[in-house]
Amino acid sequence: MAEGSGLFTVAGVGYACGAFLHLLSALLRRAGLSRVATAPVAAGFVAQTAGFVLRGLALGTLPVTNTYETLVFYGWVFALGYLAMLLLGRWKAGRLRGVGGGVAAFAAATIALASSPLYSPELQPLVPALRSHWLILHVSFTLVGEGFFLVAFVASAVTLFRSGGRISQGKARSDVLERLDDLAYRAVAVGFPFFTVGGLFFGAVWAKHAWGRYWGWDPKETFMLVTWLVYVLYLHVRLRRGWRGRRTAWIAVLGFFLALFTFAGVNFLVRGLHSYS
Amino acid sequence: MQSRLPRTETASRFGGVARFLGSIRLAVVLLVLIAVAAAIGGVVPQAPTTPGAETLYHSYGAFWYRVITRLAFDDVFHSPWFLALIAALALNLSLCTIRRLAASVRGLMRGASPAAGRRHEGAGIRLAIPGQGAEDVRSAIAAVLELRRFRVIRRDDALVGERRRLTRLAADVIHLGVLVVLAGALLGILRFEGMLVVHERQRGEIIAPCAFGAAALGQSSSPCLERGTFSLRVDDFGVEVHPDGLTPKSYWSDVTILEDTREVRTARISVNRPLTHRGISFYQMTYGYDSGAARVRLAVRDRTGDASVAEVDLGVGETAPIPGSSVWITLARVFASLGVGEGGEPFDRPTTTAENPAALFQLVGTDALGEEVAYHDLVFGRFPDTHLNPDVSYPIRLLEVEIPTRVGIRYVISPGYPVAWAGFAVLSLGLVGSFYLRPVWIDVRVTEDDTGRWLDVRADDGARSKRDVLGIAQQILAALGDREVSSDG
Repeated sequence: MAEGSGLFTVAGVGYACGAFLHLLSALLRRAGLSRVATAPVAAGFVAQTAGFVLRGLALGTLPVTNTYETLVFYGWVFALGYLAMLLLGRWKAGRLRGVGGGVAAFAAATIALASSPLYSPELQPLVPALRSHWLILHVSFTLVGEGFFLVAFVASAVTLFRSGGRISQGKARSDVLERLDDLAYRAVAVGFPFFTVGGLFFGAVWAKHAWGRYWGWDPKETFMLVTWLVYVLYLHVRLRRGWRGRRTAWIAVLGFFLALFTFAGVNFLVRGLHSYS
Repeated sequence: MQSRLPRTETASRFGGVARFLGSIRLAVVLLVLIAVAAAIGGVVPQAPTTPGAETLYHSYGAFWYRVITRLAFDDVFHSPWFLALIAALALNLSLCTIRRLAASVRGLMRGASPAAGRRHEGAGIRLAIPGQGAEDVRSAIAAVLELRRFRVIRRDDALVGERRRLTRLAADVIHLGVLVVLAGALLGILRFEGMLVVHERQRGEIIAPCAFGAAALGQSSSPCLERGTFSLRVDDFGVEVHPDGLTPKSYWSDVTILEDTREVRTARISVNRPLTHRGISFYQMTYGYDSGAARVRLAVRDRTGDASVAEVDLGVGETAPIPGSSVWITLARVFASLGVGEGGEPFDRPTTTAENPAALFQLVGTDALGEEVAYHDLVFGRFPDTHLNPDVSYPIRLLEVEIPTRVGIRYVISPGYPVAWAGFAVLSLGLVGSFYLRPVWIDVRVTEDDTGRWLDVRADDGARSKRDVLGIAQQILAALGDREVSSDG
């Protein structure tokens, strides 16, 4: 059985359409297209949520128990980050088209990767270690945090691309860079508590319940901590040292690469207790 | 002889050092160093699973091998330099928190406004107001702010409304939470853990606290509970599988706690569902076949494979003679689920059922024909006619294979865990207060210039939007009986 996989494909198409419309909007310099782009992203998000509910009901838990499901969930949290920042009023759909396009493209790419022959959409029975409510909280909170980190990453990448080393060249450009910087910060500020509570707190409680120790310097745990430290650094230098623009953008980019590495790369490097995810 | 420094100068120097040790500048440096150190520890295999020196040398080359071993990169998290970095961060955080918390609490007690810089991050509105008496205006403003559940602070030049003022302490609460987590980690040095391996035949036996020093000296042959003040009995254990018949769903052990031979508690331990009694937590850790305790019954046939020479009952490591010859047969090893490694070596796959039982025998001696015999043979339970050596003197057929199961229960005394848990809870509370419930702060003042009399309403960043500020300003204006609006946005 592959519950929800059809709806996930629909979601992927929605996100891809959103990314394409954002790209078109940037190329044709028409803000209206960018506003329209939110509709397929929102539709995709609804479809994916429905798919998750179906799959979750079939599985009896939140479907984040293997690589296919966590990849799909990753796509969902990216779309969540996109829509949440829009709803929170931190970003106007017609503006910052690069950010919208980038986030939607990431969401589409993640769903596409999950749907590739590399991963099976079939439901798999849960092994004992994964049968825990703490697992659901751990994975979902951590990945929701990373969804917002993606928004910060794309905003920071656009900042680096557009600033080209001269942040205050022209009023309009400077305004755009300021908005990008603000969006990146707001996204980190929303995502950081989720990431901390999910990754460190719930992860530690789950580890304690499953293995009898709450911290064991497992490679995945270690890189989770490294990622967290980078975002702690981001918040401190921005809030307390007044860093802005390219300098904080580089930290946000590094932070997201580390988050990606923790999610997908660590297992290839060293096998640890998290090798099923 | 040098004269002593004046007291004020000494205090100033001490204050300077304390400021540096608690500074954000040092915090940034320490965060970077700890992140880099942890990343190294995440990449380089760490003790005790570190590969041997030779493997490390070949994997990383001579230069990096020297760097790794001399700087303890193969045991980063226990190295003195890493622990020193953590201690420095704890000191930095403590000093910073003491300074910040003292200032924040003093500010709250005095009813001071948040940091001046933050006032200008929020929205600002300017409205023209009618020329009423100053006290009437102030009363109207205060009434509106109180109606909107603001705590009103009356200043000479302005009225300040504040909500969620306690969340001003949120950043300090986060820091306190981290410090408590670190304190929990420090208590981790008192952690103790042991493993109880209970074999099928030991079900129902009482596992008593270890005799003093016996376990440490290896004098106890049956499992015992170190640091225990009570006994434990594993009544039963097993595995529950999914409908596919292969994937494990739950490993479990039914245990009874006994105090002075009195049964005080019976519970089922399973993965993710530990049992804690008098500070000792029990975890279901392993379950599997105890191949070392296996027994087999086998039929030995003659070279043609047609006639049975003997039926033998053997345990692992046991030897028996083959009748009519001077050949001895030894059961070297039993596999519950035989697998073959990349190098062709056999190994026991960890499975919930004995999927592919097999036995490895060694035969040595002189056979009935006077020929020397010395070979190993691998015999399969499910494929009785398949042999590792097809041309053997005495083909063997497995008649019965009995492989008992065993369970591993880890027990842990972890005094740091409740402290770390409390720290995480405090940290989470601080995060919510700091990032999601920031203080809402409204500054309302009346100014006059050549163009008229104005109501300036300015909000801190915590106010949701400019629309909220406008709403408050309009409500004040409505209270004053005028609706003329302009804005400096």
